[in-house]
Amino acid sequence: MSTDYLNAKKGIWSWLTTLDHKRIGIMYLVTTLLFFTTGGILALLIRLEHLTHDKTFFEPDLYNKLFTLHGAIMVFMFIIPNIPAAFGNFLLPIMIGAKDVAFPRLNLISYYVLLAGAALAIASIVVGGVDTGWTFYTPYSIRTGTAVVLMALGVFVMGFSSIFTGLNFVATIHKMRAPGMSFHQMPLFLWSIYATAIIQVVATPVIGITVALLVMERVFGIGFFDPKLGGDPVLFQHFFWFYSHPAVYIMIVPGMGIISEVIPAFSKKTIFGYKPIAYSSLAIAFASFLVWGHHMFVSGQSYLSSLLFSVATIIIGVPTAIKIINWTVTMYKGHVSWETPMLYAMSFIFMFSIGGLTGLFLIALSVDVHLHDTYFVVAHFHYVMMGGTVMAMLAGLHYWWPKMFGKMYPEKLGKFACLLIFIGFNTTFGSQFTLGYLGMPRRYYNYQPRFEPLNQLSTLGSWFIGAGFLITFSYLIWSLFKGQKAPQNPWGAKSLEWEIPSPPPVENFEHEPKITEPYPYGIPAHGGAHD
Amino acid sequence: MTDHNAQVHVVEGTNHVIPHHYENAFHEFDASKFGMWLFLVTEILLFGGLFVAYTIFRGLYPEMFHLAHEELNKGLGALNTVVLLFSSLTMALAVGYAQRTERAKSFNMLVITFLCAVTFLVVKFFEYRHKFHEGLLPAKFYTFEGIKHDKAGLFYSLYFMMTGLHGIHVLLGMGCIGWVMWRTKRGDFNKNYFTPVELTGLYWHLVDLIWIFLFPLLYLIG
Amino acid sequence: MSDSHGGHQHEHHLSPLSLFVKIFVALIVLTFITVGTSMYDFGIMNIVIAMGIAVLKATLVILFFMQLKFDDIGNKVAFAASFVFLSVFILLTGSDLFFRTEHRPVKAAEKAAGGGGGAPSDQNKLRVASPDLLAKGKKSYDANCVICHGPGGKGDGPAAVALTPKPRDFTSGYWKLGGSPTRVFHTISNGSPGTGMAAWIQLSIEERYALAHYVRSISPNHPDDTQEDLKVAGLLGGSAVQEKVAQEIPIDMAMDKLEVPDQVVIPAEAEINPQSHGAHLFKMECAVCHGINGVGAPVTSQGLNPPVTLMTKAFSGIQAPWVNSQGDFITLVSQGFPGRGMPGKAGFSKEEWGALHSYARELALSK
Repeated sequence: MSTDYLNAKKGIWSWLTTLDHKRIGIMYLVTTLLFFTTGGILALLIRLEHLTHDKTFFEPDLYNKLFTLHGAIMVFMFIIPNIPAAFGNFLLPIMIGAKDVAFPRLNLISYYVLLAGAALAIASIVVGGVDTGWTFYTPYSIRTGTAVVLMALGVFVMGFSSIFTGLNFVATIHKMRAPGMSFHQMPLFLWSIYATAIIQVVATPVIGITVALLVMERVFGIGFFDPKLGGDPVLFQHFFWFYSHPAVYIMIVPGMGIISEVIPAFSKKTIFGYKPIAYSSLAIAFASFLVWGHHMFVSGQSYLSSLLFSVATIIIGVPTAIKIINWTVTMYKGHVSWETPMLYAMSFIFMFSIGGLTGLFLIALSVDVHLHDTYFVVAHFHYVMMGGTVMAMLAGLHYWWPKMFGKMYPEKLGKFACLLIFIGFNTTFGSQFTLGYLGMPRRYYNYQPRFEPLNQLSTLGSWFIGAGFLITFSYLIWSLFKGQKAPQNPWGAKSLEWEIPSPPPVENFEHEPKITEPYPYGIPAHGGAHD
Repeated sequence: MTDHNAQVHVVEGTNHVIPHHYENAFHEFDASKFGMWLFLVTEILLFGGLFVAYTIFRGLYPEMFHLAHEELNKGLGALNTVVLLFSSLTMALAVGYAQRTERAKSFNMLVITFLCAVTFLVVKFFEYRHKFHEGLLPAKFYTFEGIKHDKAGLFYSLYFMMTGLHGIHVLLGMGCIGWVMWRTKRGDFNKNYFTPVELTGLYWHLVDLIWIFLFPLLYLIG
Repeated sequence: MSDSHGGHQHEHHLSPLSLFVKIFVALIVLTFITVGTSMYDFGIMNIVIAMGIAVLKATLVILFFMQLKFDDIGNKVAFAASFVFLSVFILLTGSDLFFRTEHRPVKAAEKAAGGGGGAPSDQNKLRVASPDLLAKGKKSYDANCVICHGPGGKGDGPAAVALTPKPRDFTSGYWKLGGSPTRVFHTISNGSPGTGMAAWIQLSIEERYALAHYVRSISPNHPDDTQEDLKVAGLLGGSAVQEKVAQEIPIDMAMDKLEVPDQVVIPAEAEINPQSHGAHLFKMECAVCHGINGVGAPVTSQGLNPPVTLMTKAFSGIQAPWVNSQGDFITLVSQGFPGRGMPGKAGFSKEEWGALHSYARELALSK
């Protein structure tokens, strides 16, 4: 019996130089959650400023920097690395029955590269902040006096972290599976990590060259995006969204993978439609490269482009719907129990569906002209990113918490926090759909007085979310010290990580893992007694 | 998992330890090579952004590209092409000799490859120096008056971005070649373990591959 | 998939070294061919030849120098995929940049309808109402206009609820932009800036005139064309005064605009009472549209489709309730003037409102 990975070696240095995928995963988890907290506080401040239609606390310049930072931190430092790098690192090798990822050293390097990029981004705050929004649209980003170069370099460097992680995971899934573990025996979480990793490998280099060119534009005046020098500012948007739209799927697809794990585990039923869910992840990954122009319907791009992108975007709704339908059918006639992870999974399905369906409004060319750059868009992507990915992250965090740390979180508090976040979230962003439809533009410091009541409702909701997260993080940290000891398999789930002790030993498996069909829960007879 | 935790596997004839999570030497080689190919994919897409910009601007201003490219030195471009192709040959041979445990020959080939890379950069340096003197610079600093087109600066932006990024890759490649040269000299590689030579080779061929496209796109516009 | 653990029995593939030399010779020959052909002018074929040879050379390097020919299927697929994604990147970006000008349906419809306003002779025929045109107009009205203007033309269609300002109630007899046939035709063709009234230029000229006659027939007030109207419409012979309005901001125009830094040119001496706080606020907040001293300035509404350039009204001599009522002034400025392109502007403190109002009042009373 070897010691578990948490206690195998002691001291901070043993963590900072570890090559163990589990420890690196935990380091990513802690780091990204710290960034999430920072970004979340910024979000609370933004909402606070909108409490009144006029100046509430901050000056306009500070407000512009706040929302730019909120966007950049949440996108590049939290949501992109969070699920793939934290959960993926911890779980991927265990789920395929391997001892580690294919390139452990590259794995550690990618963590430090993320830190280095984040340091550059934070440096840009120190020297005065950035006020372009997280999208760095030219020509404003070429001309503004703020620290765009530092932030762009930060994004460039963090991009490499993402590339290394993706590359590592694709190689791991291809080359490191245990004997007998075929692609079709992998848990669906891995299919989604695989699809995500492909996007990371293919798309991320393009954001690298994009921000590099932006830096060159500012430093050497190369003129690609500067109309004064013969370039085209809209070309920048093509470059930017060629990465950043697929990146939206880097954010959401791993979340879908978590949901595919949680729902069968808490329904005690084999997942319905394994192959459709698995291949829909790949379909989303591929199709995500064909739709970027739907961010640019009012940019002055050609009608031909708008038409192609609009049609392609409608198509990408199909694989997404396949997943939602299959998850729902999985629960049908299962022994559903409502622990916190399952509650978050349900929140995910509810809010992600709203987010997805409002996306259909936005990709209709004529409707988008009305809704573009309004709070409707803000609400839409927060329903997808927060209602989707963050809910999935919370589901995964509670689901695998016992495995990661060998401690149970307090169930009642978990449910209560979930309720708070659910109510708070829908109050905050539900009202923004209405605001956007009424015509309130996004990113503005002031707004018309008639929007005040709905904005106040939205701000009120944000406090509920804040409280929910405060409670969650408090009890999770508390449970590390005072929590009940977790059994090997608290949920009765059936993937490989539950076959080994909690927390797992350094080498993951004491014995060669037994590979079975995925999700061997069977199908319970109708009316079977609940446990 | 057939091996046991305490046991350490060393590749036959070398002192390379197979990391614990790999089954055997070939498993490690296979995974590393796949990783390298994936990395090359990211390289193609990194350069891809510049190729997209090239396509767009050439499509928009074809006559400007024709006028602007005439200031480039076709002869030096062709010379550099031959130099890089030759370095690719010697690199392929270096890998071939490494696979056959012919260390001295492999080392010599690596040295030639390295010298080719130096030659390439020296030629590039003289080309750049000439452009700087003439004021053939990226758009904002473009001062040359011999081209009758107000957007000719864009061509030189593309020229410097594309050859500049390629040049950085040549430098990185030289670093890698120098490293495997040193390790070859030390006797690290034999027919059972030559992964670093193989991967450096793949990288170096990619550098050649990019140049194969840059040469006609920049120097040979009809 | 059986590539798990990479098949342990695999041996490394060994290519004969002479193969590399042969490939190198082929590459050099191809290089000379590509340099040679570039000396001659084959028109479009030059790039085809150059790229063809480059692809051939690249293929040789990939297959033999990089040994992909003898490699794992996974490596082959991965590398090939990079070119697929790169093509997607190039093609879809190209679908924008290379197709920006001659594709616009609006312009195509214009062309089909016979140019900007159609030949004057046709228009002179169409601007006289006929039962046939009225019937056509009703049909088109029911299809296109009812949603906002309502079945009876009272401005009470189902979509009217959401619109500010409300759609025109034709039965009121009021025409904001003129009620003569050519004026109404102009409004239908170009929309009404700052309102929900879009430009219906995709309809044929005949259909637009038919609509004009029909909505005029609903209104109790339907003036005929004056000489002035005809002159503006370019139907009197001679050149048209009316400029053809571009349907959308062409990208070039947008770029031209971007090139000019936003600066308000301020004539130093001529300014009225330049030292006052109100003057400063006015300069910062209002002068972009209203001009220095509120003399009026051209404003192009880029958010509107079509973009329209309007002159703002001079303040001098203006008589409106706000001149003498600070309350009215604050309401007007903070809420804007929907329908006239004046955006709401809030965020002033109480003192600032006072200063701004007294300055604007000063301007209104000035000569």
